[in-house]
Amino acid sequence: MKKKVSIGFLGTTLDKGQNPHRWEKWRPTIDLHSFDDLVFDRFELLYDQRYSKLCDVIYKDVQQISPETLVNKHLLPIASPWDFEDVFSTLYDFSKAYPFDPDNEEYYFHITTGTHVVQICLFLLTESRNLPGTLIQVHPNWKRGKMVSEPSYSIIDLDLSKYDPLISRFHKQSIEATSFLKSGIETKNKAFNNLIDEIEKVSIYSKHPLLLMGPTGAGKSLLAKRIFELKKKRHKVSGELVQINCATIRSDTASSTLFGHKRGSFTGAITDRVGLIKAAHKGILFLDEISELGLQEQAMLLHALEEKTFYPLGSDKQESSDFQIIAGTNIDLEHLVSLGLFRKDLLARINMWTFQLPGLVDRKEDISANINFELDQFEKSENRRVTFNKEAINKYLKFALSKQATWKASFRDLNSSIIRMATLAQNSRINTQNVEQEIQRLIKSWNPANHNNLLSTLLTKDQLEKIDLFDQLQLQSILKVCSQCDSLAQAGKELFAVTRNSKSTNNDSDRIRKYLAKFGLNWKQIKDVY
Amino acid sequence: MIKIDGSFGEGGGQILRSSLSLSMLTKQSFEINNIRSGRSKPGLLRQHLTAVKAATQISNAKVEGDYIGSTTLKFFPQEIVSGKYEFKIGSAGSCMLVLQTVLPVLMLQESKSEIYLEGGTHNPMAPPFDFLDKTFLPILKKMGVDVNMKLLRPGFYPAGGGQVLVEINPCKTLNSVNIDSFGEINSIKPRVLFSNLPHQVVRRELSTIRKKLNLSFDDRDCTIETNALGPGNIVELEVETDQFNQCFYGFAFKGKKAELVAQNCIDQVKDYIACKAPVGEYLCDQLIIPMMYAKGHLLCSPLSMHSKTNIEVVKKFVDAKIVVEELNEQHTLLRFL
Repeated sequence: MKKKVSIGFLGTTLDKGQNPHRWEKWRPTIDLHSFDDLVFDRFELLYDQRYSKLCDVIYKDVQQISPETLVNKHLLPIASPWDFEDVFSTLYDFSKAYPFDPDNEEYYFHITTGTHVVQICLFLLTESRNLPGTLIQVHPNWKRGKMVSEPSYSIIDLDLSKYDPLISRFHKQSIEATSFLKSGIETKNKAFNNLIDEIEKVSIYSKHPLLLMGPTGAGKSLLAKRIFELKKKRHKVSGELVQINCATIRSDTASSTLFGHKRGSFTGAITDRVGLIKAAHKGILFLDEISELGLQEQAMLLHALEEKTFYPLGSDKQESSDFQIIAGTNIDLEHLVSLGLFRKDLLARINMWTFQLPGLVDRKEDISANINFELDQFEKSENRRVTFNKEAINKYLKFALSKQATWKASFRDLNSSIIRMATLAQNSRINTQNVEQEIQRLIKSWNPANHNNLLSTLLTKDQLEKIDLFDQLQLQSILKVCSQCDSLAQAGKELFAVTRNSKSTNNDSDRIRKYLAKFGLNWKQIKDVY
Repeated sequence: MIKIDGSFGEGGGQILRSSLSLSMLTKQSFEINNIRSGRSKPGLLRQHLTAVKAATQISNAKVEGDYIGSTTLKFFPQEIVSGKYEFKIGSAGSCMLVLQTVLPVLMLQESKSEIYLEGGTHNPMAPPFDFLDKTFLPILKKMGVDVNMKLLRPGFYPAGGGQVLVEINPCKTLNSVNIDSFGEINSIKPRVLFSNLPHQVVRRELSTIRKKLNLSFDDRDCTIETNALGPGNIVELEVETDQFNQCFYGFAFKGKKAELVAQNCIDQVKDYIACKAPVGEYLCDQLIIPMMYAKGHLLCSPLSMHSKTNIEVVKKFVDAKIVVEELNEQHTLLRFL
């Protein structure tokens, strides 16, 4: 038989009582040890210094009512039993320090006493198996304000399936958090979902640097913003989110932007300037494209990260800032380190938590959900709900998932693609024609140099076969110029720039229109493609 | 090995306790199955386990199935060792039931024993301390066994914490005992034991007794305020006849009216007097095992389920001749041959 061990908090309210009449009261800790069909070999009584007098009473009373039980008092100082972080970390530490021996002992965590925060933390720690055992609660049986029979107890073994709904309710909070990070997009990609789960945990519990790697448009900035909002929601940060793309501060002003400067420290420094690092105090600094940061700034940043202090330009007064850094990069930093373009020590510092964000190409199963997300975003900004018709969405998805679709700028491409189609859609409905045109636009943007495709795009195979290569090459070049012009007139000006000056009248536009017509083409057709 | 069906007769803890005593006395192992099988919480409960452990201790027994909820128990007694013992009973369970298990064994040894008990001393579902002290022990004395009980502190439910010291001066061969006539009632003495309760409760109980039994007495002579750890109250009526003193009890608990507590006790006394069988239901129960060794006869009220069960259990262990003669609706003669 395994030994039975009860572990519970002193009930500072429910267990109260010093005089003999305390025995007529319902005192959960006493009742827990008075059952005739449940006897504990040991009881670990957790209490706070402030209640040591009451603890002594309960200590003696339990021994009296349950001579079979060895009672141990544990001083467990909790500054505020209503503070989640305090209670959770104290209990977590207890769970790590207590010599649990599940092979020989069964543990019962008493949840009738203690604040609701204590109860929730005990639940969470038991559910996560940090506390190896079951929960137990004691309840009096009241009827019209009178105790009608002796108290009873219930054991809550969270491993039993009947508690699944309860557990899922607790999980909901964590699901809400992960869903929050994913901007509410129901993603199916397993790798991505795992990544987000991990990021959720890290962003809630860790203050260490986060490095987000991934191709352009994979959603690094959006994720950084979401991490910040989640931390803010959970009261993990009190400061602001400060974000900057390092590529935009590559000039001499980079260090001044980051660290601030003193008035007069260089030409143009007319006033004092507070740098981004100071602005991120108690918040998050998101440095996108961190690889673009100069070596000097890298060194300064490293110092600021390690010491939480820095010197603004031209100042000999040290400033301090306690911030969490999230760095973004689409370039392999290891490679840059080997080329001497990125500091090894800074990389070591910021890649404590590295997350590789997959691009859209690697998350094709999520395209559908992201299309809906983009349509929602469009609705929010334009106040107009746009939908695809069935054929249109099928066509678009078929293309989006094909090899042809390289999604070079990842989610950014999808974002602009949807905005274009939604803007052009008639009656707020995207049809196959909108989709076909959008597909051409995307192909073109991913293959900008390949204008040979233009002819085959505009003309059918049959038509092309009837045109001499001589004419094909000319037409190709003319179409290229046309595609870059806003109007027929502008194309005329461009193509006849030499002769038009010597003419009294110019009908250049007409000449082009006629030239195109020779091949069965018109201006609108060209513009539709580009 | 002797097999006992735990669900037989009374079907509760009594079968177990009697079996333990008899097993030790006769040095025979036994196996009991279906322990408390019909009850809402079947199997061994805390108080039963305490009795098993006490028996194990005094007889150096080997035991199997001695855990809470167990419905089967195997008990192999070895040598009985007299001496000093200390038994603590959890959740204010009755000390007296544990004593009831070990007393018949220790009183038949060669040397003295001293038992210190801690727990409940005045529990509603068990004979209270005063019953054993005033009614049961005098009969043991007639058999030749000198047992002294001292109540150091009463223990009431739910606080418990009562303390009792029992000194057992054993006797190897018992004198026979015959209790066969009711005799004359010399007096009925009321007594109220209480702790941590207002005096008013006691006054109401005593005035009920005074009225209903038409007695005259001074409240102060019948009131005993004790130092129990929690609140508690019990009413006692001691009926003194030519033969011996038989005590009856009314148990108080929170929410029960003082008048009703007294009335419960009064009803038992009235029944006893009307029936005129000298050995009342509870006493009969207690005497069956000692009488098996002492021999003699008892004039009892109709046998309770407890007593009938006890007799059956005794017959499993010993080839005892116990003759039950139902004389009439109110009288049963028990003869131990």
